[in-house]
Order: sequence, then C-alpha cells, then structure tokens
Amino acid sequence: MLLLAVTFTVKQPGLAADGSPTPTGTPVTQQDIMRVAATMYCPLCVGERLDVCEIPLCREMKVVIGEKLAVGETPAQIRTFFVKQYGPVVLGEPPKQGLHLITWLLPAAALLLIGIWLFLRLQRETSAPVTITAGTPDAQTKATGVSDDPYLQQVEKETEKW
Amino acid sequence: MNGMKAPRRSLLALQITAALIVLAFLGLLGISLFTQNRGQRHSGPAPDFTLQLFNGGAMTLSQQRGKVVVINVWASWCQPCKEEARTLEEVWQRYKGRGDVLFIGVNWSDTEKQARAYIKAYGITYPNGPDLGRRIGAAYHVRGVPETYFIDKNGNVAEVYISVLNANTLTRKIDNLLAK
Repeated sequence: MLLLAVTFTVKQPGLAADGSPTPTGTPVTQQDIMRVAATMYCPLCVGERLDVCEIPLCREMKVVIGEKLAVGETPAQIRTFFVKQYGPVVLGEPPKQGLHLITWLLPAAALLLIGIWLFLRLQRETSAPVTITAGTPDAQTKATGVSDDPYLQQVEKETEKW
Repeated sequence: MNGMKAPRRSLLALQITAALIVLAFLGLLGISLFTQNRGQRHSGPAPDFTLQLFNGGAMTLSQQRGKVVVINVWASWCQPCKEEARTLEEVWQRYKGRGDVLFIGVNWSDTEKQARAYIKAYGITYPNGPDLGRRIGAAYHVRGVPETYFIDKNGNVAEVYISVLNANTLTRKIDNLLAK
C-alpha cells in the first residue's frame, strides 16, 4: 500500500502521455499505457503483445489507451472497448462462453482423465495378488532353491564359478 | 478375478473418452486451420450486416436489394487504400444520382480518430462505418485491406477484388452488374 501511495504521488499531476493536461487531472505516464497494453494483443499480428507491437494500428491503439486512461477509464473498461472494436482476439485467448468453452474445457478434461488413468493403473498394479501354485516352476524354485529350467540351471552353474 | 474386471472396464471407458478428447482437439485444430486459410467470400448470398455509420445512423445491407452494392473494406493505415480512395469517391459521384448503385465503406481494424481523419482527408461522401468486433470481416472472410466486394441486385456476392481499383475497372464491374 505504501509503495502504491508513493507511486501515485511522485507522478506529475494533470499530465497526459504527450504532456498535455487531462480532463480529470489524472496523470498518465508511458508506463501506465504500457502496463495496460501488455495485457492485450495486436489484432492483426499473430500472438504479438500490444506493448511490443510497433505497426501503425498498435501505435494508434496505445494512443487511445492513453486517452482513455486520462479520462479515468479503468484497464478493464479499456479492454472491453477494444474487444468491442476488434473482437476477442485482442485478449489473446478465446472467450469463456459459447462454443469457445470447448477450448478451455478440453485441456482440463484431458488432465483429469490422465489423473484417473494413472490412479486406476496404480490401483490395479498394487492390488493384483501374486499367487504361486504348488507344482509350478516358481513353487519348485521357492521350495528347493533350484529351478528346473535348464537355462536357469546353466546360469546358476556359471555364476557359482564366480 | 471379478475385482480385476471393474478397473479393466474403467480403463477401457477411460481410453475411449481419451480418444474422443484427442478427436475433439484434432477437430478444433482442423476448424481453426480451415478458418484461417479459407479465401474471401466470392459468391453466394452476401452475408447481411448493419453498419453503424460514422456520421450517425445505420445501414443494413439486406435493405439495399435491387441495387448494385460496392463494399470497400479499408483502413487508414493501409497505403493501397489511400491510393484508391479518390478513385472510389470519383466513381461514386458518377453513380450516386442513379439510385441503383450504392457504395459502402467498411473501416476494418482501425481507430475511429484515424478513420475520421482519413474520410475527411480524401473527401469521402459515401456511407462509411467501423466494422465493430470485425464481424463483417469475419462474415466475408476478409484477410486484409483493401478488399472490394461487388454485390448484385439480388443480394449475392458477384465478385471480390483484392487490389487497388482503378476507375475503369470499377466502372466496368458496376456496369456489368447493372446490365444483368
């Protein structure tokens, strides 16, 4: 809070981005404009953030942001204005409504499914009982310590040498 | 053994659901690629729209049936648009008295201040308005500016011209549509 108070008091009152007085007397700095611009995207470029975009439209949009901040509009109001002008593309993400919801829900559903799959898989592996029936090679090995598998017998013979 | 069947069934259901999700992802990707790469609308019924005009009022395309409508999509930051701006106004002056030809300017991806300054600078008098939310652009599959759509008297897209128009080309296209 102290930091915020300091930030607001150090600005020159009543100066717009171009240094001209603003109707509300609200100070607007280039940083303020860039902070809002950083939350939006160029409507013509692919995935280029507005604050780093230098095409003529982006430059004009930043001027508009400055004008709107100067008359006291909030960043949310400014974003709403640009969405009305250019569509949701300026937000850099699909809107959370209508068919666009699919793009939001699919990744979450996929993650949930992976979680359930892992859970079921682990549950199956840990709960599966290991039964050794009498007379089977495993049971014989367990009882005598010697397997009747010729290959295993050979391996044991060879390893005994060592 | 019965205890093993339940998790196995669950796994199968899970695999089917996962496959459906992957298909949905691929479907979305396909739709996205199709939307991005489709060409401009060059035939069929012209998508209807209501344009809020810069000088007040509104204009609805479907209410212009019986007229040849020239829809010019432009932006103030577009150099080729500036090259054809005076030509469009000059040809509009030639036809505006007839009543069966209408020019409409659709300002795409622009700021209002710059758009108004452009209209003033080039002395444009035909109805002009912003493509709010770029809905008109989306309906006509606009990919850039300038693009000019020619709508026949029946409300169908007759042609789309994607370049700087000169007076002769523009006049010929309008006359062809008037003659039909």
